[in-house]
Amino acid sequence: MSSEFASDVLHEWVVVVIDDEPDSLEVAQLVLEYYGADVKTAVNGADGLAAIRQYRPRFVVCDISMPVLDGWGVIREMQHDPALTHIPAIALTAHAMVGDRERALSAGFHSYLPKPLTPATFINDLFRLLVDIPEFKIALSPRS
Amino acid sequence: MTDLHSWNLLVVEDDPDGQEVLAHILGFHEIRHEIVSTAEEALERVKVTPYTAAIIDLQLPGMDGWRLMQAIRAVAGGVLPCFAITAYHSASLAVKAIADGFAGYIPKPFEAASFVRELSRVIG
Repeated sequence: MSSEFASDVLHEWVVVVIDDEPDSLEVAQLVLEYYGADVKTAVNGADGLAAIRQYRPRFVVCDISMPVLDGWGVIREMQHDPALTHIPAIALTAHAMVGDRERALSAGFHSYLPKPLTPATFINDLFRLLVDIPEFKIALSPRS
Repeated sequence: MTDLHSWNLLVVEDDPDGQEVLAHILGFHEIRHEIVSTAEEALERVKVTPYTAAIIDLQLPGMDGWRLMQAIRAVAGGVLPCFAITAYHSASLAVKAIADGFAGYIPKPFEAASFVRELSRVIG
């Protein structure tokens, strides 16, 4: 699926990635930048929320378990801020925390991706999720 | 349950030590495989044999692993998943490999269980 998409398919898309684990953050950042996104990163929920308010990204990728302010806190703040409620947020959930997935959807996350992130799983899962978001569908047409 | 015994893999690796390690891992799991040393040999093999997947070293002499993957896709379309292997691992290289069309990416040195797990993830 991944190679169906041109390397500039996310050109000029601002995306905020929030994760305290360096390896996951790096994979997400490299993948998104490969496809042309302008990636803003943060290593805790408080800094991530500040970045969301500053940059108003097209979408957010947010870990659940983080210091200072966790992913639940981030999505709660986004849901309570009329300027941010429309921004799709994708939760990163640990493979073992199956219960987090349903909770993530009911908390307001658009969807979730399992950790650990690898380029292969992240690219394929990310695009599968993004094309499900109606306002992204046309912009994400596979290359001919 | 993945049926490893039904697989038939093509391994494209020029390094004798790498060939030995891969033969050992695949042999241990009783996975059928053929090993060739060059991209040119690999292209001849995929034209006549319906492999389950190809495992391709990115650094091959002559036609490298990147061009071989593209050539295999041209010959076999999407029906033959290609896995990149490399001794020069970086996260950005892994991203480029997947984004360019490799189905999986496995850095050296190999660990037998995770190697087979990555193959199973794609092959099923």
